[in-house]
Amino acid sequence: MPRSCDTLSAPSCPDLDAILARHPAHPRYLLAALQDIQAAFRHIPREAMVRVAAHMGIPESRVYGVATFYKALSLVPKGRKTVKVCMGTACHLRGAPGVLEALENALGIAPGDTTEDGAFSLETVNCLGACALAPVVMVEDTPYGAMTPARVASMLEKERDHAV
Amino acid sequence: MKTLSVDGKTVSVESGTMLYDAAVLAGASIPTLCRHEGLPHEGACRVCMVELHRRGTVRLVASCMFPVNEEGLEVRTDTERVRAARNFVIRLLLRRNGDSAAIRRLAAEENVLPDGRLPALEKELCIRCGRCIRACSANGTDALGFALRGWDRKTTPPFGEAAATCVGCLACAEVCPTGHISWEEKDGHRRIWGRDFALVCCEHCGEPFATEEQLAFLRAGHPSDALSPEEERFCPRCRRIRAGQSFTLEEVKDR
Amino acid sequence: MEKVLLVTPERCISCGSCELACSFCKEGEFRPAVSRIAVHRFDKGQNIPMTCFQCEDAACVKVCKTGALSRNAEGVVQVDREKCIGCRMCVMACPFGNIVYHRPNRSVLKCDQCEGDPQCTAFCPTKAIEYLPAETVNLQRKRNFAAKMAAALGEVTE
Repeated sequence: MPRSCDTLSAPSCPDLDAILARHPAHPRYLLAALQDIQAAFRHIPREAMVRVAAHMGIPESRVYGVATFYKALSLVPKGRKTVKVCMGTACHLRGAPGVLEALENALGIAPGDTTEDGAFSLETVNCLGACALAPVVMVEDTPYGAMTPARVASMLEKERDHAV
Repeated sequence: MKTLSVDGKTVSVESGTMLYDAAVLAGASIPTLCRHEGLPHEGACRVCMVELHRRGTVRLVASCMFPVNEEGLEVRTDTERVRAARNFVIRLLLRRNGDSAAIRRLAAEENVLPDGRLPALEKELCIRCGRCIRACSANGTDALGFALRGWDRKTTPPFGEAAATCVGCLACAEVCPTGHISWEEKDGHRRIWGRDFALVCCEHCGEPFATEEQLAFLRAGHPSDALSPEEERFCPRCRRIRAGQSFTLEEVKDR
Repeated sequence: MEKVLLVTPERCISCGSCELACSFCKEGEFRPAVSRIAVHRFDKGQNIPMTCFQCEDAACVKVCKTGALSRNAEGVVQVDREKCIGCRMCVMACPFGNIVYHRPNRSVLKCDQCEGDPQCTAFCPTKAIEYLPAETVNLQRKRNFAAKMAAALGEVTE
């Protein structure tokens, strides 16, 4: 199971107070704070939303609305690395569906899900803006151009975080 | 004051007046869905679109949200382009919210027929106009908000749980144009947004008349106007009777 | 000049004409349930027509968040139905129960003195409800109260 910090009290949990302290108590910093929380916790824990709302003087309903609006924010824990498969027109034509299928098989999950060991989350995106490299897969910040189903296994092996 | 023309008629309005209000003043009739006179406007439904001629350009704007801040604006509320934009929105609404009497009424008024290419989809009443959210926010309870986006967008209390700051006043249900927000009241309880409220029954007649949370919210927000704890337990009708009683001659005699 | 509705309970014969006139004038039907004025009938033939007092420091106006309730130039608290969101806070706040929520209208019902021509007074057969300038009423109220006190004291001394 992916590690979760729902109680925010576990010693291994990132420091929410420190994140909040970095952002002034004004509604305009809501998204920035949520992005930092997402990066630190790999998701937006419920308690963090409550704390952000209180910190910035925003209704919880609005914080929840923003947290659910953006694809970059997730309410459920994401894997340590996110694999984004571009499904834009160029990638689609050059075989992205096959790459996606290979990834689904290799990871044993569907797009939007996270592997049991918490290593990878799989996502599809509409365009990464690198059509010349089609089909493109991006693992965190590393792009893999001209992907083929055959190259999926070696890519995952390279990206797999063995230390954890 | 700013002067503008609406369908050829000239009107003068205070600077900052919304196009919708100016148009209505000029006698135009513009359909609306998300607009509520008592709430801030949001321009969510796009039914009130009008054609705005300004500085040589022509474009469509949501009349409820566009302020008249300059002289010489020209507005047309019933052109081919306006009708096309309006009818397109209504056709989309018919597809998703075809079960709503309010949407069907609007479609009939605007002579819009369901689009055969777009089969009716869901039996859903919510049109995502946000009136309930704005009402709850105006009230100061802020128990509702939009979650998710695009097709999945929906109105919900935070975290998708029972609404923690809701006081059960029912304003959201009252302002909902399509009747999407349901609530029920039975056996001295009111249920709305997944939350159960015990109703306060009148000390005198026993009629349930408010939720405990509603009275507490009022007390907290207006401490100087708060009723005495005894008076608060009487329903409005019995309060009136008690007030009446205290004004009759008998009361003076009894003193 | 500000005018007010003066109620003299002693003159009320509990005929209910005011309720019918009000409901018909405001809602187009003879139904006391939607009347802004209500006659309360107590023991020993004592009756009192009750309607909004147009309080100077009105709690209903203060708790209204959308501006649906406001005071006009004549000092009368009016309802703008279009602005009412049905939160019922004013109903809970009125210490006299003189404002009620009416679901079918999606708005509250309260007396607005018929924009200067109150129909309840027009149809009251005994002048139990009068529409008078505020100054006159203050004087009359004081006189009435003095008379009542005198009567009450008289009974005690007897």
